[in-house]
Amino acid sequence: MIRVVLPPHLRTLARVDGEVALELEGPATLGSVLDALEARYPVLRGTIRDHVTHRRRAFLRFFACEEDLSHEPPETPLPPAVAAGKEPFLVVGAMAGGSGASGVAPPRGRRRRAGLRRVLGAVVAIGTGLAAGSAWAAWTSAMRQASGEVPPPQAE
Amino acid sequence: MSGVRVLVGTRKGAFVLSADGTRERWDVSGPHFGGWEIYHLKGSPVDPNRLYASQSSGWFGQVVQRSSDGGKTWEAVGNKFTYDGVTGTHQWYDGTPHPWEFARVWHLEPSLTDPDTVYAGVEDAALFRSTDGGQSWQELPGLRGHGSASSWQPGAGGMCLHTILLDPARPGRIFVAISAAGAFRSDDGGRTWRPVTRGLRSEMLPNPTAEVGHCVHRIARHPSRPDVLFMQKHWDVMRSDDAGESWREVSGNLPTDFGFPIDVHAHEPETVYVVPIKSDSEHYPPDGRLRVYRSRTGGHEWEPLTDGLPQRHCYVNVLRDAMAVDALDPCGVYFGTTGGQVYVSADAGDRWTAIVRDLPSVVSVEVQTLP
Repeated sequence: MIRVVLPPHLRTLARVDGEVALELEGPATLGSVLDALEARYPVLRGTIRDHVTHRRRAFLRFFACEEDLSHEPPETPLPPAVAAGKEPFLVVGAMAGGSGASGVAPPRGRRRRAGLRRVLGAVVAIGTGLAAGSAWAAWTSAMRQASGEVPPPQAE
Repeated sequence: MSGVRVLVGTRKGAFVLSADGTRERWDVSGPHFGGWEIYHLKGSPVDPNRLYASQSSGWFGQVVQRSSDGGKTWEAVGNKFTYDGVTGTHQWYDGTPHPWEFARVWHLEPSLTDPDTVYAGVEDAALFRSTDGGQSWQELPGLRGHGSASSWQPGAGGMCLHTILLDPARPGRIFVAISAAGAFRSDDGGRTWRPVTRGLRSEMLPNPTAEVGHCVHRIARHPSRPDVLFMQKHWDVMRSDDAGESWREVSGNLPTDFGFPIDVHAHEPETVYVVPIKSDSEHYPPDGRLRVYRSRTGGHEWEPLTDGLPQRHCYVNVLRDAMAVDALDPCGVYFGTTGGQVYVSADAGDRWTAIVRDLPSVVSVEVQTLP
């Protein structure tokens, strides 16, 4: 059994509370967990990765046991603790505020907050070399730079 | 007594505003899909309880929602918008080739005859159609396959197909408008298209009278006269009396040459509404006065409508899909602002009142007149 933590908006879309539990047939890989997630919740197709290319959406990241799997190929095995259901697989939306961007609220709950703090630290470190705990502005900037994409302007 | 249902799309969710025919007391429902950008909602003209909504996010992409009970409950339907065939390129802002990339659905236009058929205008500009209630979408590739497509360029808001007009008299005729490619017409149900821009003039184009490249903001018409079109363009209000074959300027005494929405009175085909906005980059009402302008003569002569609208320190915008009219008598006129107000006039524009004042920035307003 694989535990998956989704961003709040995707939990709402999939009409689930809390973590998602998935049973996988075969090896637990990055691709197989996403396949199983989309098979169980077809409404999530296209919201995490592209329908056709299966490319990860630019403002989402994948983490497991504090490892950033966002840029790994789909056949990448998940850590044993995730495959065993001891730790969750995290689908994380970038934190962002201002400039018309629709921010993603942090997950609720002590455990998820702790997990998210670890993820934030990891991503900021990856994105900019800054230490965890930097200002939100630096985080936002880091995510945008790391993703290589900025949401399109809503300039009208 | 008949009533109205106003469908409001905002940057942070959808709202449904309902009232009886007096349009005085309003029930406000929402936010639906809170936190998501709702570019557009629209109901089927043959089944008013069938609604479609475009829900989008820079993080999670596109979702299409469908309601079969007038917006009380919703279900997500298909969100796979795949361009047909070779994707090709259009021009980027700097003129370099840029591959066509789907970003979002700007406008949903339900069929005039079938509640399960709905058209979607998307960014990067293309027209899609679903015939199964939004479960699956197929591009009508003839538009993007038009010979001029590689020269189309985005406007400031993206290269969006934002206007879809279905002809009630000629089932195969469709008009679309694209910022900043122009206006196009199909007479064969969307299989083939041609620009309908003769008479348009845009001074900032290298060729001001080019066939494509005009930044058309909105086209409206009265259903009883489908060949008479009114256009709010980036620069000027235009009119066509021959289904787009030719256009002439009817800006007349308007205080600016810019604005986004345009709409036509439900019972008076020569009565037209616009909201003049200051440009090029300000995009707020001139002099801080929010004024709807009405022409009762099909253009040229315009009167400001100000009763109930803020006449000082007002710097909101009214976006292209954020104006609508109901079919009651007298005709109701509605518009939403980027400041979160939704205004209604239950007397064709003479007096205005805010239904709500503090919604998220309003992107779109549609009205259903209910039996």
